[in-house]
Amino acid sequence: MEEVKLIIDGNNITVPGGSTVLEAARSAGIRIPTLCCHERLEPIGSCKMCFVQINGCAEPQQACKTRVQDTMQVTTDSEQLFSMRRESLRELLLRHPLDCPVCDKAGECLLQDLAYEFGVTDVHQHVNATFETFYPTSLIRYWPERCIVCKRCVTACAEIKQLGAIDIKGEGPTAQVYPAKPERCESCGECLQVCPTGALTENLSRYKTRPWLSKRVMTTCTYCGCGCQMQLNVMNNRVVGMTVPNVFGVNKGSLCVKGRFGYEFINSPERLKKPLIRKNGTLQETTWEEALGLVASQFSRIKKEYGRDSIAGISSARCTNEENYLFQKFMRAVIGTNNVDHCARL
Amino acid sequence: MSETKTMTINMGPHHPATHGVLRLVLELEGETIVNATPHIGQLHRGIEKLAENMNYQQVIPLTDRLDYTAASLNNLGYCMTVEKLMGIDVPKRARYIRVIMSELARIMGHHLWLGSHALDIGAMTVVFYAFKDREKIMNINEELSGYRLTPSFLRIGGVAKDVTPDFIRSVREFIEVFPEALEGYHRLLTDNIIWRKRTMNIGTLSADEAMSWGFTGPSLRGSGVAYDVRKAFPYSSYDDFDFEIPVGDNGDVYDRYLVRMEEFKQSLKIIRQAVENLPEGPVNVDNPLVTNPAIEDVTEDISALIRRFKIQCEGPTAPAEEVYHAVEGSKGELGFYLVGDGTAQPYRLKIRSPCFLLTSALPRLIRGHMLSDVIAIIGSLDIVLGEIDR
Amino acid sequence: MDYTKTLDLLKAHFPQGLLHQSLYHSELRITFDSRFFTEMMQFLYDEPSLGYTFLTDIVGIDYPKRNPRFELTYILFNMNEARRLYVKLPVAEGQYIPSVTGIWKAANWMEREVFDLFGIPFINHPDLRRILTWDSFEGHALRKDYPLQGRDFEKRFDPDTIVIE
Repeated sequence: MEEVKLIIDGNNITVPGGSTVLEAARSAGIRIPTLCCHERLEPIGSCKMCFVQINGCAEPQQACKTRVQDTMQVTTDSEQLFSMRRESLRELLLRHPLDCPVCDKAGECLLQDLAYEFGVTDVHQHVNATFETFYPTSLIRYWPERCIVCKRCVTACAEIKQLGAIDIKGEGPTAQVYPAKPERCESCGECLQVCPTGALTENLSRYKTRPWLSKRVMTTCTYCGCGCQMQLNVMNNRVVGMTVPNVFGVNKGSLCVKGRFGYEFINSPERLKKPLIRKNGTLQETTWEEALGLVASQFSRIKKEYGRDSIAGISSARCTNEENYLFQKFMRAVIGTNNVDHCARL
Repeated sequence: MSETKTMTINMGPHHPATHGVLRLVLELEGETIVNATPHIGQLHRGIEKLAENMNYQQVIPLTDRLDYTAASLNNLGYCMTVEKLMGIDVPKRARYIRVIMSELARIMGHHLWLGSHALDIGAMTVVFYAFKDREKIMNINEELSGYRLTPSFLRIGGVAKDVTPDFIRSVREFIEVFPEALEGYHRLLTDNIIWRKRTMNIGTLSADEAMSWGFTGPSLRGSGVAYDVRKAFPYSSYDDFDFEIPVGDNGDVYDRYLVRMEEFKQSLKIIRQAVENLPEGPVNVDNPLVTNPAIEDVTEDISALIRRFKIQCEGPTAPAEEVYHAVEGSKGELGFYLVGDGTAQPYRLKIRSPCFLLTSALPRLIRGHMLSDVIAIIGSLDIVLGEIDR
Repeated sequence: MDYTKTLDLLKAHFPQGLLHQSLYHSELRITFDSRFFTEMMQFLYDEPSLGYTFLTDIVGIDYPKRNPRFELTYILFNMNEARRLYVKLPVAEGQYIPSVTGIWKAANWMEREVFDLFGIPFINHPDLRRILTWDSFEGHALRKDYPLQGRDFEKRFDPDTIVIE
């Protein structure tokens, strides 16, 4: 693609043609504040934060939607732009409830950060609208008053997951997200992942922690062999939530319903932590040595009595490739049978 | 023939006359001190390390615990350093309130010094009068901030809240009654023959030597050097007030005593001027990133709620720069060297403690004196171990 | 504040000793070369027209990612003209710094404190011991890699491990 040369805030920048002004600025390390723009989504252009001044244009333009042109001269920061951005934020805050003290997102909320950074003052709410809080999945709660209608969730559902389960209805201050095709929802939580505010919160982790209190631990999802990267929110040695940075791993922030919401088993009291052996009809806790010894002796006995093909092995998709390799090796070399199968076989 | 043997004794850390937990290992020849080694650090709480892991606002209560006898002065020094780093200009009314608070704190600190210094040497009566009057300032502190000893009343960019007419009335009452009390202290000590014998020509330090040892405050002025941070770098509107710097001649314990007694009077003079000329206006800087919004707004205005949330939880950020700012503490030049790194937490906070350097000269001061003079000299330096150990 | 004389005299006497200079809040910071450090400090003290006769403080700062790792800031003060001068000295880990106790007696404890909390050793110091932490303390508390809670936060206090000198 052709290269385009332009000037942003006095810096000469060369970017591939067809990029947006926002991308060009970011590649040069110049920050333009944004709310609706997301790395994985096409430009949305709903938040009115990324206005920049371009020579030759009378009105400020949205940086996320304007394509670069040769010899373009862009100003990203001026008093006028600062006050425009502040006014945009003030408008977004007009219907925002006084929820920060009880909101799970407070502390890592983009809206909150920007409102503080731009020093927004004197917002007097006057929007009294009734909203519908129904959401297609019971794992996520929708708080319509907190919503700034940035359309990130709707775009993510349509673009990343190709589902289109949710959409926006209403206009202006009464606009809200609603389940357009609830039957299509997969409960994947992609909308939750991209939400910049606390409008979408996870029902399992609500009120359990604060962003600055919990420890974030990077790990790999154990549900299948995909190896999705995820971040567990740990508080007092207990997993209380899940965040996914959208730059790492194969999944780039996406997860399936199991990966994103199925973390409560980790601290479940019903989880087996010691091997059990059925003695006299009841399962009793025992040591690994005794359990494995029993398995080995029984395998030997069966093999001797009924032949090696009387044993079959089924492996799990939750194991890694290496573990599955070892398992088939064990079945073939130690037991001596080719009766090996796997739960994810199609 | 007789052989001279020295004896080593341990004074402190729990000795009542060491003003805290200072341990002195004294080497005696008879009753004369040959050598002395101060051991400090028993009160080391790592305030500088703690500050690196807090945001700028949270450090203020820690500074109260430096020189706890005059807590507001430490607040003032720290807050002004942060303001210098962040480039904040505090409104005039707040500056005046800060001056009133810190001069009251200075009087409080000197009260404690006077009472305990006299008590150490044997003049027991003074401590009762000094503490009785100190109580009045503690009551004023309590009325204003809720705390008697450690008010933490100052904030970055101003003060916690505006003062009430009751506070002004209490301060005025104190100004009215205090000169008479001060006369009383003078009658008890200044011409007292025992006091003079115990303090004159004891622990003498020349001006040059005092400078070399890093002395500041009343201890330096006792040696005849008229250096006062309030005059040299007039911060917090100190150039609006008319006051003098008392200096001594000989640099002995008695001169340091006289300097501090005169400082009572000068502090009173400053407070009187500040109260009479207290300007109207806001008490916090008009900067939405620094000043906490009023609690009434928080229940109505989402932007105020967000600001309060962010200021309380994260706090304002400071640029990646280094500043040093000093104020005249009750013991000397109390300086803060603050390094920012663009985040809401200090990268490094170094506290220049005047008492630390006063204590370092202790071996020099007490060498050759009698054992009983040690406590007179320690008392005259007015050291506070909370500030030395940090 | 006017620092032209300070800079002119330093440049005339030590053309190689002055590495860097900057003004902030109209106060001068200068970085010295450690090879000429003692002579330059002695010069600042001795030269009557400069009159930096008072050492306010020595501040150590740890920058683990920088090379050299530490930075010492000597705050000098001219009392007659109320002028402060900040002398900076980059220090590598393990590098010995000449002591200025011969010039200012106040440096004695200041250097001990830097030694204690940062582990920067000084040459020609009369009594270089730990000062704020105890003698058997391991590590240097104000280094950035020293944990806030201390290394032995979980360990119970055992009086037998304390060494009494």
